Amino acid sequence: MSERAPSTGTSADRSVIRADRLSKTFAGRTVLSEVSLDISQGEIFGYLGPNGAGKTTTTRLLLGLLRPSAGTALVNGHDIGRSLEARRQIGVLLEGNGLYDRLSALDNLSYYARLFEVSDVKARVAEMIDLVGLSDRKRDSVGTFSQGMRRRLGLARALLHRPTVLFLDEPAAGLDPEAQKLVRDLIATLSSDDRITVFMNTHDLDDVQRICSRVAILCTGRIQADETLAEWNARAEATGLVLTLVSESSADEAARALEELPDVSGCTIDGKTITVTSSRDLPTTKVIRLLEAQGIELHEVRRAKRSLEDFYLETTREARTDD
Amino acid sequence: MTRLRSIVVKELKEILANRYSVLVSAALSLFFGVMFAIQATGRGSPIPQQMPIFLLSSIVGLFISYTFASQLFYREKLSGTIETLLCSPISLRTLWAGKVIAVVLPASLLALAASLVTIVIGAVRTGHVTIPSGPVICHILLVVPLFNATLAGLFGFAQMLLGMRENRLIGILFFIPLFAALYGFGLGPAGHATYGWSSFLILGAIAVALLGLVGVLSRFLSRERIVTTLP
Repeated sequence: MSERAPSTGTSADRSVIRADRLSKTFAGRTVLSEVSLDISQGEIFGYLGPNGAGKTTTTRLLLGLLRPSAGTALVNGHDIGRSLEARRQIGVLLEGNGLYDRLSALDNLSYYARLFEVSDVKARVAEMIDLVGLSDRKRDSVGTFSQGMRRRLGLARALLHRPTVLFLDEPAAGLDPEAQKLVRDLIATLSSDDRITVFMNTHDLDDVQRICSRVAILCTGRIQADETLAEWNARAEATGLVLTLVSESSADEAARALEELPDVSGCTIDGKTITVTSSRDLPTTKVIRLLEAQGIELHEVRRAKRSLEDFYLETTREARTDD
Repeated sequence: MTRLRSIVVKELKEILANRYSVLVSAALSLFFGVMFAIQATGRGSPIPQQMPIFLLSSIVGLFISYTFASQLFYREKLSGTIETLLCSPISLRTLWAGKVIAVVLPASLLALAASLVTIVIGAVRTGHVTIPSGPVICHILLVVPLFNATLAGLFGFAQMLLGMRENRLIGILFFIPLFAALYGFGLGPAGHATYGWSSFLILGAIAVALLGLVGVLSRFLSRERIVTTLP
């Protein structure tokens, strides 16, 4: 299977997942606060955040498993919690795979196929088992499967009834690199060819960079960032410098001087190397002149491309500080 | 109906896949059947008409229902499959009903089998086949499944409603009072008198009322309650 670019979800696309000022409080403790999302058809939406940030709560609210304390959550224009028919349109792969250990792979998928009233159950189940490469184990009980095999079968289960919206929680968790690629390619193909909308809870930043068209970061129950990957890539290119000094002894002094500059949000020192992060494009000439004025000799200056990991860590750190 | 049938079939498959539990349940039915036959025929008389076969079938049915209901509801929650299932186009009541039916079928069959074992062994020991009276037959075929459904339904409701820690206690809370009530009924009016139509009607009415109550209770189950009490 070839890698394909996911849909970028243009403004002309239909809004498929919509959360409007969604909040959830458990026993007086606010877990989610005024989360708003608008995800278009065919988008692959990466939902990032540290453990306990409220990602699972958001997913459960969107799936209608929890009632919001305030705000609304709609999928395909429906409150999933109230509409059985609307649930036909969604596929879910949660932390557990939704599989019964004592039943065979075949029985597991056949059961779900019947619940979703899939036409020609036998053929569709065989097709999906084949798709995830488990045909030779289809009659074995799922309890004998490895974690990766269960995950693959769980994905086949989620796709069985041809959903238009897919909710995935760490889809590649427990998979070997080959299976990870299979799952990634499959998700990308579903988005680009079938225009399936994917909402993906994940900690895997590599997966996000490879297949997501949009990323949101949730921390302390609030959305801290929500950007398309193209927007994020443009910002990542524009900000930050990596300076290599001639002498390690002047690194502290250089960092202090650099931190005085407007727009510089921080400096990290690693030996003779200083990584400067800034909220806006930082002119290299300005930096060079500043250090020359301080009598600090520079060996090299280059643009730093912030990784998604840097962006994620900065965002969550700032959110925790503000909180 | 297709979805309900699918749930029943799948739950029956799950019950049968747990061979240990099936074997223990079958062995228990056989054991109770044999013990009741020995007790009833040990007094030197042929099996009396009022012999509490109704009691045997009720006890076996309840015990098996308890075992199977624990498997189907508790495991569904413990493994977390319930969360995925709640995202499918089935209502909570359909899911609950499917599981209850799947528990009632084998539990009632094993209760019937235990009664047959008692009759056969009684006949072997006395050389005389005693066919149970009409009310007793109706009890086995109608009241026992209703009581089984009540217990399975109550278990299902409680196990879905409560957290895992509380779930460990509900077996005692539900099983013992029901068992004691039936046993008391067997020792009292029905154990020493002919199990007639009046006994059948009283027990039948109690069973229907309890099942109705369970049906009403099931309306208080919510997806949120289930999801927030997952382990």
